Amino acid sequence: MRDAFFVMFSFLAILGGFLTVSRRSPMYSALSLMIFFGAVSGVMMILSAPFLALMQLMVYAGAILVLFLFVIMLLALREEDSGGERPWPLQLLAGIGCAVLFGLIAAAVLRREFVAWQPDKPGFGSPEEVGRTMFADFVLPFEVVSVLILAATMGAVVLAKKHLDKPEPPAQGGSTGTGGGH
Amino acid sequence: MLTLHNCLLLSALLFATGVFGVIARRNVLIVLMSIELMLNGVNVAFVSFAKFYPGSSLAPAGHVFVLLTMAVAAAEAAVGLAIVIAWFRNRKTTDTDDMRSLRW
Repeated sequence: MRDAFFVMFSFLAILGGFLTVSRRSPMYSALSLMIFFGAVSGVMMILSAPFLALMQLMVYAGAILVLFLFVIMLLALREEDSGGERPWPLQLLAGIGCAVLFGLIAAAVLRREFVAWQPDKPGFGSPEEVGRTMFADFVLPFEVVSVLILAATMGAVVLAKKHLDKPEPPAQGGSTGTGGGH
Repeated sequence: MLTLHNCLLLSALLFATGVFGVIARRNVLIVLMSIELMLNGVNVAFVSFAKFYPGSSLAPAGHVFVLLTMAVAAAEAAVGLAIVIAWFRNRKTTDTDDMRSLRW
């Protein structure tokens, strides 16, 4: 049962990832990315990380994917904006390179012997335990991440402003925001 | 079937797919999505190692690393998409080959 679900979710994840990089339109890519995120969440659930599976769904499928879809619809891309594809010999070369990369990692993995599947201790991977580990052993990384998110928020706001180096024309009604030192 | 080997192979395959997307595609939105693919592949590896080598902890360090990776991925997506919006507003293109203002 567990194996069957693992195979199914792995297959869905690989399919979603492959569709994401191969679709021509970014909208189809984003929708394939949704399949991928859901499947990875299923894999995490099978690997007894239920809290991470839920966070995967909330953060990736709920926030990042919606952000991608918003931007794709906001830009209203036309066919000529995306500039076509690379010529097929280059794509083939990239494919061979990535196959070699996968082969190297696979060879390194398959050389090793690992422990077999074992049943979990009760409470493994629950939100309570993840929180305990995070706030007992990883307080500093957690705080650093909060600073990173603050910086990213301000950076995104500043970057997406209308005119970065020109001041707002005074006569226009438009936005009367006073922020921003540009 | 559900062995650490297979989990790591899945992780490597997802990562390689993401690398292919970054190298072979010219649409910057798809390049950003491929970066998310790579980050997720690494997350699968973290969770697999946490499952098969938990040590004595009920929530090994791998689980915390995955949460931190998600935070970094969210920040990266926000800033990256803001750059895409600013670029598209100025140059009307999402082609990575046109983005060479900072290159020599």
